[in-house]
Amino acid sequence: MPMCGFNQEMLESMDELHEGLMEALVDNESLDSEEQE
Amino acid sequence: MPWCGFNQKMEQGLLGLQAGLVEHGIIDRSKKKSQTHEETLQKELSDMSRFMKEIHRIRDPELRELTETLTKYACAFYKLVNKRGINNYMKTIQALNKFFWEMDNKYYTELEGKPEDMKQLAEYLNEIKV
Repeated sequence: MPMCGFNQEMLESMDELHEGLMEALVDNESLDSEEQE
Repeated sequence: MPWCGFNQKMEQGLLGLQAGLVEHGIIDRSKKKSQTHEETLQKELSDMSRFMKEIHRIRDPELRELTETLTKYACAFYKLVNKRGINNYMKTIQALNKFFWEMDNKYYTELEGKPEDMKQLAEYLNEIKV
């Protein structure tokens, strides 16, 4: 198997990683907006 | 942005994925197949190498890039874990995540917005002991 098989925990970890990436993006966008003001 | 800033979720997610790659992918699989960790790891690396040759068949460009990147990440991670010894995998994971954190910290505290920021960042990473 290319990814040795995803188990449930790995899938949930990937979800967490992706959510974290999106939240960091949103947080950075907010910071940029504040700096412009 | 090197990693757009590590937050808690990203750190936990990465840790979970890496632990799963070893615990589920190598340790549990070795037990099920009655083979050594080394045999399982080499089989995984071989499978991933073969898969990499076929990834160009994935039509969607983002899915292709994500799949390729994830497979490369898993390959490199397994090679690092194998180098350090599978029994030390948690220490390896912690050291690796600390490396990523140092990368982020260096960029956001010292380099962001400066000329040749990424060049300096890449060179700085050579100084970090993992």
